Amino acid sequence: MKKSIPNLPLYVMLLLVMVIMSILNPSRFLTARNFYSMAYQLPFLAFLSMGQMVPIISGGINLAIVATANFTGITTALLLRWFTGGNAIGASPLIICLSMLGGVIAALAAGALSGFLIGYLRVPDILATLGTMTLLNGINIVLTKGYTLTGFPGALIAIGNGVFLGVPLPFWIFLVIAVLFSILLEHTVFGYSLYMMGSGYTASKFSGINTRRVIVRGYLLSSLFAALTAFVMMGQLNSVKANYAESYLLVSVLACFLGGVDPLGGAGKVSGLVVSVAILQAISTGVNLLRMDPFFILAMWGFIVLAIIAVNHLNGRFRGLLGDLRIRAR
Amino acid sequence: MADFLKLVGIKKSFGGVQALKGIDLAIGQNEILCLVGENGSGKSTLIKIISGDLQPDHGELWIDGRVYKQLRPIDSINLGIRVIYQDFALFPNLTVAENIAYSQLVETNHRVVKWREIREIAEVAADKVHADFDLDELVGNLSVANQQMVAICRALTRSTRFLILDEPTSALTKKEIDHLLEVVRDLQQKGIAVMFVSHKLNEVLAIAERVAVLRDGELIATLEGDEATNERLVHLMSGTTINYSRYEQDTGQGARLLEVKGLSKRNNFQDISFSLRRGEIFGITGLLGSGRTELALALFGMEPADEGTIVIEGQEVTINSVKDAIDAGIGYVPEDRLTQGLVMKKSVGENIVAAIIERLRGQLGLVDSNKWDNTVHDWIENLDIKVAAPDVKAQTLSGGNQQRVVLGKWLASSPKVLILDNATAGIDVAAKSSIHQIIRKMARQGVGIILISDEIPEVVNNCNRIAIMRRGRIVKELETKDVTEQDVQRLVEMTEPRGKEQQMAVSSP
Repeated sequence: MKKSIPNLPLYVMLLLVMVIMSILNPSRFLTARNFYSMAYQLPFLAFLSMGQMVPIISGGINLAIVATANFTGITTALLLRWFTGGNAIGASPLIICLSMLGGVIAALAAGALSGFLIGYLRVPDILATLGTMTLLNGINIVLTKGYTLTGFPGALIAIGNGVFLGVPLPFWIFLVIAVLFSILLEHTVFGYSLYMMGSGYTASKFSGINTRRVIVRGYLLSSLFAALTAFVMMGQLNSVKANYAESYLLVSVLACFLGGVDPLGGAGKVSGLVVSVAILQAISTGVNLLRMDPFFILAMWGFIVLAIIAVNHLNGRFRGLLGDLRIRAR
Repeated sequence: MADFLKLVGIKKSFGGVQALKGIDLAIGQNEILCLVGENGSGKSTLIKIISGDLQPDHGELWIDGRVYKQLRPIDSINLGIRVIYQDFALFPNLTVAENIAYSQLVETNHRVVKWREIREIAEVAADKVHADFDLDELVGNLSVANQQMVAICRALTRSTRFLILDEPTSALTKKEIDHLLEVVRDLQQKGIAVMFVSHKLNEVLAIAERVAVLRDGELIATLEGDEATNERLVHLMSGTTINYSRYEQDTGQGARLLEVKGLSKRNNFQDISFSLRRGEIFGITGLLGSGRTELALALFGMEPADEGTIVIEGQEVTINSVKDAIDAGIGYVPEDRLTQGLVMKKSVGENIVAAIIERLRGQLGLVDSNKWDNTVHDWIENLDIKVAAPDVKAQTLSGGNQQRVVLGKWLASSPKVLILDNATAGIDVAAKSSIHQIIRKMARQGVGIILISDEIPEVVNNCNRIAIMRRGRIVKELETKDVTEQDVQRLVEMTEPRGKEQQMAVSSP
């Protein structure tokens, strides 16, 4: 059988985008400063997309992912205030940890709710997570009264904003998480179950895979990624608000599809997703350098995805949007 | 007598597979024709070409003396051709009258529904087949036989010339089949041609004037009704003569492996008791809807029973989930490979380890790839699965090989009891017989096998004992060494005297 390089079209596209952006931005795109800024921005979208990837592989979707991230940020910010009596910036490490733990628990509660609705009550995933999203958006506004909360301790801000060995700290975290995530998906029973269930729910059930438990765990994991995204966001924006990053919900779905995650579930690799996020990031940075309307970035992303779908569709290879993905969940 | 329909040189292929290789067949104005062939012989494709759902690659259809190169579904309907598929395609939550009148109402294209009209249409149609059901009953509440009558009534609401019945008798009792045949004879008198399509040989043959045999997309033979003996047809359908050897294994000394006592599930099965010894193959047969699959699903934990006990090797076990069943040592090979047996989009290897993935954990809780590879290779080799590499997707395999993968999945879990539910349906004779050999070998190695099948020869020849199920109960248990296939066939189709147990006949739609 012919050995194909997985995700080859994606690498080609990344290179192409890099070249085009370098030509459009001579002496500005290919600079250390620009790469630093990409490494600074990329983890946010990467974590959000990884969180979206898990439910999509299992055959679902998590529309509550951004709301969960905001819920985490707001819970953490409020706990910090509450523990310190208003002076959050000077919080002790213990209080920071406790507050973040509280934020993570809030995220897990949201994931458990979606997972329970989908896994146990068999509510369709779109409906269940739309419900969770609406619920969380409401709670988020009630908690913040619509205001922006700001002023966090340095240690918390460092997660999104710190630098280590000249590279943004979130990028280091991203590298470690990407490797761990990849191992989780391809070398554990949970990862295997996720892929099998996403490819054939009934047959998986008939093989003794505890589909309910896998679904719940999938949404819990998705929410953990949302919490991580929240901490990065808090550091980079130094604030939380009920409706931050709402437009990124569908971008996270789009990043998955671009990265070769099967929209029908059951297939997709972390490496593909990482390249896909890098492409989207390169476009966004390049367009920014051109001083164009930032909304143009969204349009460009949409265009890229439509173009890829069209090309693959014409090739008769619509499934797994980008080429011959051969997934072996092991 | 002029032909109503004449097929000339019909060819059809899908991808590289030629489903029909040039079919010439004619059906007279009010003839009763039986089309038989094994699964995959091209019967469905042929039906779909006649109904206009598929267009032939080559060849012509002559209908009423006119030639059609491209027949659209609407043309076929307007020409009076009606197909009643095995699943009837009825609306279970609408009433009998609504179901019957539906297609005529759609055709007349009224904007407002006239209820009186619905009733009149339904009454006329029900009268044609002398049906005695309540027109206001929901179709979902009817027995399978009555649902079939509703489907026939619906087909008769407009001028029908040619009725095709796809697998019409697979869920009917003897008495119900007799009624169906009566109705069909009556239709023939009214000038309607009928084609029965079946993969099984049964009573339908009795009233067929001609029997057409399809094999591998070719019309192998067309016999006059009285020439069509069972042996001859089996031979023609399969291309080989199946010589079933009986499974003879003395299990009198074998330890009791499984004991089922008073197992019941409301509306599914009642008071089921049987036992299984080590090395024994226990057959369960009965009509579709007799409760045999429901019983299997209860033992497998998919649809747990309401009451009763299951004892494995002397230990009472509680089976409330598939996991419980696997832990207790029970495996289940379903009839439906496509959705229940295999994850088609995944590889052969991934499917083989599906039931034992937790046992492949190694260091750090990660899946041990050596254990994985060994398991997969062992079972591909043991079961002689024809596959280029373990990472080939399951959907690319033939039916027989796919079913071997499912067997491999369960045998890898070293089960004590393996349930096979119509596991050889839809696979060719050679593959079928090799699966029988695997089953026998496993039984000799001490696995207890429960073989559920609606093919009487399959159970009679492969099993030590057979239970016959009817309306959710085991009505008879026999040693196979004392019986013939005909005895069992008779028992399966026997109708119970009308009584309390009639309630059980309602199978969920």
